[in-house]
Amino acid sequence: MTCRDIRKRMAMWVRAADPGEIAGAEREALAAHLSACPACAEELRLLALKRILLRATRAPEVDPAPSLYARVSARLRQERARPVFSFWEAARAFAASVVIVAMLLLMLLVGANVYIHQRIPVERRDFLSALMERNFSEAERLVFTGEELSQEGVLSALAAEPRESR
Amino acid sequence: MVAEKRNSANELVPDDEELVERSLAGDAEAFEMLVRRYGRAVYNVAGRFFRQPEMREDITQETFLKVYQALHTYRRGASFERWLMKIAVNACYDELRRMQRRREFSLADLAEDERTWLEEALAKPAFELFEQQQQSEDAAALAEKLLASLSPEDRLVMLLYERDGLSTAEIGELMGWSRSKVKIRLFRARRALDKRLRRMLQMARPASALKAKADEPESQRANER
Repeated sequence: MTCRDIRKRMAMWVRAADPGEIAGAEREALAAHLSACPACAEELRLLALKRILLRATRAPEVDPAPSLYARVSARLRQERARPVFSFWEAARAFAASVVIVAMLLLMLLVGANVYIHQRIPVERRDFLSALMERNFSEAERLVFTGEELSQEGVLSALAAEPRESR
Repeated sequence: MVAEKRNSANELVPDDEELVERSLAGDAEAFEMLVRRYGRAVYNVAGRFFRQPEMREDITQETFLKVYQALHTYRRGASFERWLMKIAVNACYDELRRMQRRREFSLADLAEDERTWLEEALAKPAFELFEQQQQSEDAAALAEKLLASLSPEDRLVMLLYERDGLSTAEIGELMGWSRSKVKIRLFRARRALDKRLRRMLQMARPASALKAKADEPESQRANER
């Protein structure tokens, strides 16, 4: 048996179920070659280790614990109880949530707008709109007759709308 | 055609296809029968990749859940068992990918017993090691660490091809990979594992040589001097 013969067979041997399959004359020739050839012996050692280690990773075939079946059943019951969503149902649910969010956002904006406007005293608002419409006589009247419209109010109204009042 | 077969007690039992039909029609009992029929097989498929019983149980559970959800995709007339095994192996592969560690293998990761096992294996003549049949927990733990440094694909093909003796065509069918993809994977996996094994031998040798030296009786070492 030459080194070449042995190397060629090694790939086969690693998959052989049982090294006993290499028997008789072949086995003797292999043993004789290995005792004289350290390089082939080293290759075979590598192959033998690979074989042993790979085989060790496989758990022996056994029956699972009987509790496993109960666990699988419980998990399946859970799965059955879960409402099944089809693609279109999921799409509809998504669309509905988008609409709801949009409506909430709109309500929030309207509410905020109303709130901000309520915070501006009525007279100051009228004064401002009179200024914006360039109705100066009305603005002047409001300044002199308005009870709430203090000097401070007028100044802040003017400061808040500098562009429009110019 | 009668969609029934007999069990070991010679009772008539419904065949897989009938049980699938009944499960699809909402018969929970029918699906439970499939679980009982194939639970052991799925559990042992998981045992090809994972040794811890909890892991194998989780995978079995995951597999039957997937089977239940995909039951409508099962093709009538095809082997239910093969279809199920495909799902089981893929569940194992998903798990390998999830736990992907791919750390470099180092002797420092080995426990004392695993190191001792390796040193003893190196001390044996190669031919004796080749004929060794005996399995050991230490070898299994060491192998686990060595394989964890491979990619999930490499690990899968190494185990299915080299250890379990499946053909490249069979692996391709199980994984939905082309045969050439399996062959390329196999080539890479072999190269990767051989590289790690060679490195492991290199690293372990000086250690075992030193240990042997330390174990020599004092008088013998004195003689050498």
